[in-house]
Amino acid sequence: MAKVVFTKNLREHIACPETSAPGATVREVLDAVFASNDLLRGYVVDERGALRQHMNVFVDGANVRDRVKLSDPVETDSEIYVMQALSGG
Amino acid sequence: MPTERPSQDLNARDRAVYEWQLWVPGYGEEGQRKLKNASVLISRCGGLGSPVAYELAAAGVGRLILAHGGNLKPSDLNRQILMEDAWLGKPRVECAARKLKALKPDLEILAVPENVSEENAERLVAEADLVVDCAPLFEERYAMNRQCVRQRKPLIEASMYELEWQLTTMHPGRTPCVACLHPKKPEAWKREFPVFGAVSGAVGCMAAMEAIKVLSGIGEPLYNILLRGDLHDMSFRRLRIARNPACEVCGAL
Repeated sequence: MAKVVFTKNLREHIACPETSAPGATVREVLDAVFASNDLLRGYVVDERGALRQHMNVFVDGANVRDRVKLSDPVETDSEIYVMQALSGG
Repeated sequence: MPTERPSQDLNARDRAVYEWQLWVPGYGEEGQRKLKNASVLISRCGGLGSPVAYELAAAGVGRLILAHGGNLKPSDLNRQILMEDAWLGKPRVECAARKLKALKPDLEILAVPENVSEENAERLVAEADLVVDCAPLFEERYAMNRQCVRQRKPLIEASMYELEWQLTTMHPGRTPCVACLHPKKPEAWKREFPVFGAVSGAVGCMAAMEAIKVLSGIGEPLYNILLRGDLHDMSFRRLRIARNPACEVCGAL
């Protein structure tokens, strides 16, 4: 199962502990995570399921190419890293 | 173009002050000369921008444009290391300029008592060879980004929240721009945020080093890499980022 890591600052807005979930694409893995956390789904993706524009997702350190369908492939030992924009100065 | 400044060579005083960094392989007098003749715009001299400005002044950048509005408040003093308690209630950018001049009397400073906005970004970016963005508001970052893309100026993007931070170096047409990475700001973002000065200081020093690398040509700037750190556990990640061909700001380049 792929590991899914959320940055700590996201936890100020929503419950999002590190977890693991099955799936062959980013969509499948995140859907599995969101299945028990609808608030998190609403924070990360929009009503169409596309990545919200202040969010970024990386698979094994690389920014996902497909922000709409989230079709980037995921291996069983992959890490999905979920972060949002920061602006503190 | 930046305000015209005649190209300057190193003098005996420069060679004495910068002796130890002249020893850095690949840098030498040519790198130092590039810094001496460079103009750098720093958007806000707060927790992040203060160490950026101080390190760039110390390293010998010839001209700094400091954009920072407002007067000094007690709550600035845990991190804004160019400020002084005795300056409370007075313009922050003046305090920053005074502190920098104390370190480097021959440093040329353009102190602008304004934060970056859509109204002044074009003029401010035009003054600089390179920009370091340390603003706390996304609106300022987006305004700066648009102008850096239009004027083809490199932009160091440094930001933080609590013990987390991120840093990347943007070059229009070669790397993503701010809008490629984050087309919109988080709705829940607040102007005030939790911060230790040690966190903003750490990432500010790294941002200054990125500026030195880009200006002098040494090392490998963080092009197409988002360096992200979490000082809770001192973990660092090098995340690969890419341009968005459909980006409304830089997609046409």
